[in-house]
Amino acid sequence: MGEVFLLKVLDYKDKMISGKLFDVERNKHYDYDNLSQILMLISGILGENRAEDMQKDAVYTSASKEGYFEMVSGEKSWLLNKLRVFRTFKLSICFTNFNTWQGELWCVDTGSHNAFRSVLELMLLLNAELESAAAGGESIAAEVGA
Amino acid sequence: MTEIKENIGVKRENQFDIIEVYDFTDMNPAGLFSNNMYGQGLVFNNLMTLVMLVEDCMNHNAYPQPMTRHRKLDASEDAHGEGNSFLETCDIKPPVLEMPSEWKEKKPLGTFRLRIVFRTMSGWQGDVECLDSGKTLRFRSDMELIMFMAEELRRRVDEISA
Repeated sequence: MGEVFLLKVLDYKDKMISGKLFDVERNKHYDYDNLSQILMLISGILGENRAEDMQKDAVYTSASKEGYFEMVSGEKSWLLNKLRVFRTFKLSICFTNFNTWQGELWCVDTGSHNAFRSVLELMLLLNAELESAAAGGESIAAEVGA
Repeated sequence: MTEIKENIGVKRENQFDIIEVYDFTDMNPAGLFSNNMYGQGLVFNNLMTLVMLVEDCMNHNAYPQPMTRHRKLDASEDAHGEGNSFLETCDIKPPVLEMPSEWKEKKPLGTFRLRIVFRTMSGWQGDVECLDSGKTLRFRSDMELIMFMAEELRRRVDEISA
């Protein structure tokens, strides 16, 4: 349960995160160029819909069946660099207690997962995963180059 | 959290961080971070690097001590059960960046004095003052701090452009 978002990361150079944010429930997507924009976008969506009481899991399931994951997930290394998805995350925000967010984060590409208790924790989880993905990408590039 | 040294008392003047924001294009804060014990004029180019600098500063100064361990994403079976995976250490390595030359002649867009006094509930609690407007906030979470800074900076950008 909770608000579900898909976070498609296209780039993480110098810790500047950019990509697309998918609001699964409302079938909308937004472009973002930095972390502040992600926080403001989600914060705005959460503010608009706090009063709503919907079965989000049902909506999420139907969205995944419609091919959302095929569209956004996976490191498709055969595509051009600018089309390549760096990492895709599923973000579920269940509570907004203590003026911060609590929920769960999944990395769709690796299947890894954990819960977060604050925005700070969410940011550090994202950073750790994207850093390791960047390191992996560099080693693959070096192998290909060699 | 074994690498965090024992807290031997931090003087009040060393508890404050100064955040000078020089650029807020597309809501992306970039500027300088300073703390008497940690370092002066450390460059951040976005919110992530700022957060890492603040977190690393607190770990370096051992003030305030963290109340929770850092979590990590885990693909193992246990991670999908009731247990959570934690990092063995809270090693945060903020990138070392060079200051853009244009900032030397520029006045900061906004200057904030930040004091974090607790690190409970995996977040930050403390107080922040915008030195330009004089507004202060006792924040209960990192999100509240980020929103306050963004609001002040957005207002400042509007004032300049008007």
